[in-house]
Amino acid sequence: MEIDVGKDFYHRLANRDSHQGDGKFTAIDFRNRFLKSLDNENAWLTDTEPIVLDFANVKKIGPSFANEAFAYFTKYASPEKLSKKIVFKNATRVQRMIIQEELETGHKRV
Amino acid sequence: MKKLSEKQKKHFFPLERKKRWKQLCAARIKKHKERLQKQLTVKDRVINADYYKTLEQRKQLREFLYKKTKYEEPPLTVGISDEFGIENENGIIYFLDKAASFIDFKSSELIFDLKNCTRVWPSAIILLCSLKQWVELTSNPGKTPKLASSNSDSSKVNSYLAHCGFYDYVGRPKDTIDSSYSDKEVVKIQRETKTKNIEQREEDIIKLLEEYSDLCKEDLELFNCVILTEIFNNVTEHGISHIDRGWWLLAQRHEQHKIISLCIADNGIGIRHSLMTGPQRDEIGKKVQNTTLNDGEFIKLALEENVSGSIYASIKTEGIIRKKYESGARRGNGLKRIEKACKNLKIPLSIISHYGYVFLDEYGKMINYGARKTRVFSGTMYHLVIKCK
Repeated sequence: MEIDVGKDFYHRLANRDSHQGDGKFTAIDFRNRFLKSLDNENAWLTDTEPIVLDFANVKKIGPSFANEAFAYFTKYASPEKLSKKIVFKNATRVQRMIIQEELETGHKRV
Repeated sequence: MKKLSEKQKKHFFPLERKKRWKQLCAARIKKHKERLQKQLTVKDRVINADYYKTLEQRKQLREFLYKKTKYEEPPLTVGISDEFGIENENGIIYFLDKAASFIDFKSSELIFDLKNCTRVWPSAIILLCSLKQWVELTSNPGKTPKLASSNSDSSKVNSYLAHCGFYDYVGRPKDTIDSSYSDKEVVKIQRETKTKNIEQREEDIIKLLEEYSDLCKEDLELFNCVILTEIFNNVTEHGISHIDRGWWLLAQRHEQHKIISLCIADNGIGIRHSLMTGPQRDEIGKKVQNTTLNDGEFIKLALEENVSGSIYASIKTEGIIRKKYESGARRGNGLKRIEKACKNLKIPLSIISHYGYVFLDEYGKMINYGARKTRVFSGTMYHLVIKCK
């Protein structure tokens, strides 16, 4: 499955939830809309086709958004395993860095 | 069963109705709470048992902070000389001293004597605008104290105050228009009450930085994604409440000093209150004592550690040896991310929140932090200095 994040969702990925920014296009909305199938332990036990997120039309992604949308799943799997299930296509170096940092921080339990 | 007499019926029926009414109310409240919990679980992923306690605490705090004040003391005149603002490193102490002398004023009239003022920096304009709004917020209707300012001997100061949007903000007529100031070099201050304007303001700031800053394309992206986003998230999540929906920003290019000064502020409950009324208050309280004189320590803590004042912040759960956080999404890294990005981009960062302040230089080194006995800002201000091309 491939999702054009900028077109199918929004080009500004900044708000974690409805309390941040204008409260629209939040990470929670995104997760519930596109990554719902991964929100259970069984989804991480089997090898399935990855979900490809195309960032070509995304103008910005903030750490809070990346944390809530993607690092949320580190409760099921390590960042390495997560990167096999969710593939970030056409993301810039800065966008990749922000996502990676949030995945690593989210995985830590301290 | 014994039949009730008419007299008994008159006596017991109201009591019965009252009892039934109470039961009905209790059932409705229970149903409402269940529905709210269900909604939040789906939408915002709640979390901890004392959610309602946190909400109640924060509500009480807001009522206390924004309580109506009687501005009845004799008029106060505050003289401002030379440069006023934190953009100039030598002016930090002067700025804090001055701010502490009038932020918590109780006079019926507050006059700023700008006669000997040679420059008003954006940080000072933000301070005055937030004070203006604070006074309107905390005064009784019809009893708002008068705020006024005299003209400066320097025509540059007067024309800049007109140019940057300050006079429009406070409702003062503009005497002079100096054509040497360009609208391209400023994102003017205005009364911001709608969060939907954030995206437009972000674009305005980025346009200004693209034109004048020394940040390359990738640096600018990092600035936009991390610094701007997280500051606006903090302002909207912790700063804007149903009582006060105000926030401000002012960005200005200073050709002579080769800098762009960017200030974003709110009149919210402040960083210490935010941390100490959130679900992590017990953990945080073990590290820093909850007093106004520790306001600087709280800002420092938020810059250095993973702590959150969000009502949805996670709390540690029992582990085998010690308590730990669950893996997964976790709040409380916003200020840390801002600080790290500023360090990477060599941008000095200052945060002033109620009584406390922290000033970081371009290498992320803390050059000054602490707290004053009286407030130095009515909410929280984030200030950044970006070098020009």
